[in-house]
Amino acid sequence: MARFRQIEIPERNSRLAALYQEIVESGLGTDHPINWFTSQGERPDILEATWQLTKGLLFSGQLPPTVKQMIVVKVSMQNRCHYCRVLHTTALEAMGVPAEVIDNLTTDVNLEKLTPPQRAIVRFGVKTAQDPRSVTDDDFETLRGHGFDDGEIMEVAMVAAFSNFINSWADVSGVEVDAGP
Amino acid sequence: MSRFQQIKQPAEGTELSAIYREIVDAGWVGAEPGVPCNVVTAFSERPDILRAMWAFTKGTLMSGVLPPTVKEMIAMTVAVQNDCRYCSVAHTNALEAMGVPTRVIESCAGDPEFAELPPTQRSLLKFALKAANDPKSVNDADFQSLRECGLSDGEITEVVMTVGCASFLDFFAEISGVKPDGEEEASSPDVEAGRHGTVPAN
Repeated sequence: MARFRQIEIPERNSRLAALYQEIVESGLGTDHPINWFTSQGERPDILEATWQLTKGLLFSGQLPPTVKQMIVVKVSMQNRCHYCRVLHTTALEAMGVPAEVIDNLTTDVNLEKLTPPQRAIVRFGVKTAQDPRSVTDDDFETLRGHGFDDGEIMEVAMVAAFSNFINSWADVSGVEVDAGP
Repeated sequence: MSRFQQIKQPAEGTELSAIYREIVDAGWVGAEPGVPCNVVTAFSERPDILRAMWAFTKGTLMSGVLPPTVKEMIAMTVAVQNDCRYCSVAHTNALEAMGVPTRVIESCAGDPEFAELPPTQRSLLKFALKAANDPKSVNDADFQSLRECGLSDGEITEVVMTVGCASFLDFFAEISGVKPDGEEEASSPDVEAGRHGTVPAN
């Protein structure tokens, strides 16, 4: 059960209304944004900050959007965050990722159905999300061996940290999985 | 040494120089005057990511309705919890600059009971530690304890987001491997040699 009031209609609050519109247009909601955002509706200042972060890390950048969603799904599983796992699995489906690949991502420790670069990225993301202190220069070299530059490696790490962050808000706020469109 | 390139003096007119100016104006300066601290310059290969992180940091850690000292205390406690030396040092310096007494800072850093803190701050930091350590462990009773201290749900949101931002910064400091600002000079080869009593052969 959600611990925060979920504000679905931003009555007379133009700042909140503008943010809601932008979030819905990005695909994260239908009539109103998903619960992860509406649960922050009492604090438009904070919602704006978390939305800027989401746009900058998840919806833009240099890595393919699919592999970023793969990181989020895998880290959410590691953190046992049901809300984020469901939401981002749905995102992968909507992006046209085949069911067998999604199934492999969530069930196969060897990630056989992923391409070698995807596999390397997802592994690095999961490792950094679990313990950023465990990352070694060899882990960086592995990604460089797949052709990624340091800026892209940074993006992988930041998407992993972002996954931890969205999991923590989903868990602390207690939001429930959004109803389908 | 950072694993990522650190550009300290970006060319004028670039996206990076514009963000740096904003960050320096906010007081996040490292060892060199006018240059942002290491956890910022380590982002310099990706101004787009730095832009997103700074927007998030400004809106969660650097502003809001909770007292700035309390927010720094939260960040300090979370940094110690995450065993992040860079951020522990940075938040200690920030608390000192705000005039927070040493015994209070030490209590934030090393005392799980936060005995030197007034009751409301104590409840707040305990909540923050739980949210940082294991967000799934936060329960309705934890929320109730903050509400009994007079915190609104909007303020509790701010506590959780401050924790989230602090954890994010800890994470990047660890991944990038940056050293506390000012320590790079201390660990340069010459000083290392001097410390070990060896003299370069020449």
